[in-house]
Amino acid sequence: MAVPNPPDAGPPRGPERRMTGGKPEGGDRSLLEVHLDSWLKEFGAPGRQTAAADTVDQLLDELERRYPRLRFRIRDETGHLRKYVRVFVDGTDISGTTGTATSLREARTVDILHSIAGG
Amino acid sequence: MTKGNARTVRILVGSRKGTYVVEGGPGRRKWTVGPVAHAGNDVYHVVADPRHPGDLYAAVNNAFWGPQVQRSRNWGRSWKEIATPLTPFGKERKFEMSEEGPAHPVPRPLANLWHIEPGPPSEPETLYLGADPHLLFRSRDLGASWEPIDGINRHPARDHWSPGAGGACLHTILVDPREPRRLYVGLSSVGTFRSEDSGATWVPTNKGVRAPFLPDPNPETGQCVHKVAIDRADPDTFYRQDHGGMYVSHDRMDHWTRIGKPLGDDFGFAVASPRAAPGRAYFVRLDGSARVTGPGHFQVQEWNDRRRSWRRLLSPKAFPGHYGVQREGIATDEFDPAGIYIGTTTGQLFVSPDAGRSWATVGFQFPGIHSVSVAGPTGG
Repeated sequence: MAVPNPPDAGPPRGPERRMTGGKPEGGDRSLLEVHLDSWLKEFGAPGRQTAAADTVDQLLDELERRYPRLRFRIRDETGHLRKYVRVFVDGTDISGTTGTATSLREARTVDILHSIAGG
Repeated sequence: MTKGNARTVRILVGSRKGTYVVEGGPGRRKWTVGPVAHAGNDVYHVVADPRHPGDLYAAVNNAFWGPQVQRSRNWGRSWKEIATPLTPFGKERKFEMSEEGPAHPVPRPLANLWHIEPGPPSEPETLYLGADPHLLFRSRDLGASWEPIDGINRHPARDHWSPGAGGACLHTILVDPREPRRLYVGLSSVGTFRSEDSGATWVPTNKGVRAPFLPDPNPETGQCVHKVAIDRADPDTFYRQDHGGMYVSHDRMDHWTRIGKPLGDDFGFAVASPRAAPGRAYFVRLDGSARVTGPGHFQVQEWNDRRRSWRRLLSPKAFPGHYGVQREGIATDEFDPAGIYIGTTTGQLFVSPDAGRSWATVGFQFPGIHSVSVAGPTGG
């Protein structure tokens, strides 16, 4: 079942978010292992890669920078995860809780998948 | 699939699972179904641009990844994503809850794309696009970019608009062929509007259309228009399939007269009017509750506006069953006699090459059909 994002889950995106040299500000950390839904290959994104980010929002910003056709596919233009997209941080579905504001500071893996829906 | 033969007729099918281009000759009795494009996507509308033969546009809606406008420049052999408009209300979003609560909701993103309308010949780069939630856009560069048409998108009554069962769709866009500044739109659960100034200002045009589902059954807006067709020989005349019945207007939608009462239940979604038959309109009457052809067979009703009479076009024995037809599910072509094309929610594609005298189905089981349009030998 899809769960809508909380109203405060979508801080504005834009150039104000700072990434330095592909790493977030605030020190060295292991890179995240990111697994993307195979359907997202349609938009140019391979299934496995690594990235550095402090939050899910930052990670999505980075993925959209790498693969511009991903823009507005995982998040809509209001900054919210789309209804049938689920994001798992170290195996925990954050789509209906802390959403894209979820911290990745202690995280190792992120899975971005579509939910079971349709017919 | 045959290549750009100048005599090729193409039926463009938008379905629950993708886009199909169906090709045939001017006899319109033998058809070849091309490979599916946009497989797995809900395609609400596919249309040819008669100003640029070979150009097709598709309103592709993906439940997971959102909507896309796609274009083909080779009659559907390949497709490419072009610009897709975004909600014009993004910068006004309010994530915090206020005491007003629901009166200031978080703006909705663009949901499904419903209708793409090529502009007039005098504006060869113009496209119009209707979308959910009740939004109208215009492109002046063939879909490289889109501008929201604020006159309707920010209409003062918008706060009172609500979606229908199919969503808050803006599904009908008509341009007066004599005066391209005169536009008409139809919005589910809201009604029709006319603009005389290229969309800067709009007036509601629903007088005479009943809204039996509202406390006031004769409001200025709130009627649930399902589709409107223009009579191209007399562009002051329109045929309307509304939730509240079938109607005609002879004065640019200023007033509507219900014509469907002799049919009993005059519910339905689709209506079309062919160029070759002025004063004729084709409706598919559905049972208002079940939303399928009620009598147990496929049937098409022809309205003759000059005689003010109805005619059924099929024998009850021809195609028994219960068929659903959606708002974009009927089209007519440019031939004389006109061809009539109807796609059903269960994937049959009916074709009459002779204005309804004979009927056959294309020999292919499509997924449920959302939309049917025709690209004739001249391109549109």
